[in-house]
Amino acid sequence: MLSENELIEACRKGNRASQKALYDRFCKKMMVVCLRYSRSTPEAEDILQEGFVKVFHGLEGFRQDAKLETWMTRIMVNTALNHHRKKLYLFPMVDVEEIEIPQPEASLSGIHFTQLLEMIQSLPQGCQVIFNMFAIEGYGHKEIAKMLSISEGTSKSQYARAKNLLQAKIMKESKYHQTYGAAKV
Amino acid sequence: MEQQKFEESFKGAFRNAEIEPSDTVWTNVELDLDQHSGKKGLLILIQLLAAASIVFAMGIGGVYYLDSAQVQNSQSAKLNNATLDNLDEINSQESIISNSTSAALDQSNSSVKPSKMLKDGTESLQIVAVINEEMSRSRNAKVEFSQLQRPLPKLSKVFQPTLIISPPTEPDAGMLLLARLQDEERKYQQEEIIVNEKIWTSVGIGAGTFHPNTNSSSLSLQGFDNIASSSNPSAGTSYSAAVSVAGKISRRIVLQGGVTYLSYNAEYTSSAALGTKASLNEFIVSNEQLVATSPYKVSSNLKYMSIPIQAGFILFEKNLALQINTGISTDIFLQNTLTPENSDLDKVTQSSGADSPYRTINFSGLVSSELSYKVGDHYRIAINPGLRYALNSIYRSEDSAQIEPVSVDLALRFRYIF
Repeated sequence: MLSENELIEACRKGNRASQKALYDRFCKKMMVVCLRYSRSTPEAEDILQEGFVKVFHGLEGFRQDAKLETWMTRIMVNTALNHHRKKLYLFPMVDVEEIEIPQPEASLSGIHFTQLLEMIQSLPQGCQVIFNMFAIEGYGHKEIAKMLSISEGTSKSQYARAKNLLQAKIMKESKYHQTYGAAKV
Repeated sequence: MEQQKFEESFKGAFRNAEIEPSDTVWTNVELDLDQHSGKKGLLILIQLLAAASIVFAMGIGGVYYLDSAQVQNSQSAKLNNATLDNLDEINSQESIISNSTSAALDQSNSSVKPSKMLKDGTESLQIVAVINEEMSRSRNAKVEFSQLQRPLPKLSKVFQPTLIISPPTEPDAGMLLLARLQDEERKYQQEEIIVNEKIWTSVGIGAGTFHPNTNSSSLSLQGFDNIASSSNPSAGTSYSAAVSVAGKISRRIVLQGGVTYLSYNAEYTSSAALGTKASLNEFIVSNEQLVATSPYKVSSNLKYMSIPIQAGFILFEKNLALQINTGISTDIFLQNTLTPENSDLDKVTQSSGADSPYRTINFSGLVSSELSYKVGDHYRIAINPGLRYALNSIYRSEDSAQIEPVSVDLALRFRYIF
């Protein structure tokens, strides 16, 4: 089995088998990233496909000072944002007057990630993107505001909304879990 | 630190999460990569070879079909056999093409995004081979293979390339055969419904309005002109239930008959009653005790058994069909029930017979249309608006009043095609 560096080198030379091996190694993780930013599996697969093409074309310029997985995730996120951009222009994000009601911190224990994925996918478009970027990718609100050409306040209010919605969903799921004893997956 | 426990736990939940994407993603990535790596020329060659192999397979299918068409009498059976037998052959081509060259085919069609082609399994095969204009004019050889979708269902799930075959310098025998095959297929498709729908039976129910259509301003009760009278019956309702059998005597002419049960309801005002006995039934047979009374309403319910014979003309017949019918019916009077509103009077039922004021046998003219839709190989559902006009008075000729009812109704029918 080739090491990551060897794989990158082979991919740079256009070796198709190595490209396939790289794809096989990361496609499942990247699929989860794409699913978080999309509403359906076909949409996620479109992003994944486009993202991987960018990865193979961009490998020439990849400096190995960052982890390959992190770099690929960033490409997937940017590709997903490009997909969303048109929709976000059509349905621009605005500040929402959502008061963050202090709730007991919802516990994710016992909830399978696919259930969390469904919850994220069910969020309103803007909330979904901002929640992913802030909570999972770890971008700050300033960065998000810059990347999405929105105000920092909008990013914060959308995130608060997303968090409220998710917490409500998680509480509901936790109650179900406590009642029936097992996750639904 | 902006991130808190909630965010951290979410991040943690997705840290090692994996979901397998479908195989088509890699295929499409590969296609995209190929597109950028200068393999276009080779791909076009492969594409043309693939197209040629499909055309060849179809040509073989066409030859087989035409040969078998000459031997057998039933055209439909021949077509089905030919296409089915060739499916295996074509399907083997399909697997070769899909495995080795579908990627290449899609690749060269740069206007179409590969993901759209490969991901949507429901899209059907549409291979359009266009021969140059000159050849089209001289040989009528513009061939659209999309017409052949039905015989090639399995191919439809593979890909959807659009191929333009460059104009050949000589007429291609394979193309001509395919053109003929296409014509035969078109004829077959047009005739299929007609061939299949020769005899059918239908059941239906209908409702509409009933107009007594009387010729006098007031009606004397039958046989009691000088004693008491009643007003003209008002328009009422009609109900029908029918069973019919129909068959085609030519491509567009249909002959149909059956049995229809008819029920007409109407109201009129009467001022006649039978003295103290208060029985409407008795005044029908004797006027000795008939007296005039204050007006009261009477509901009349006429029942007939009708035997219609109609000729129909089919205007068009595809899945949706329209037919116009005209004919006559023999209506056998069953009974009339008179129900007075006045509770002092009894309900009266008048049957047919020599003493009955109603004719036993009546004749009506019929005009109707039938709009039907095919809902299965053997079924059609139809709406059937129709007009029924009595050709004679329903009263006996010696009676003073003449009533020639007209009814307009809308029936819903279910047709079973044998």
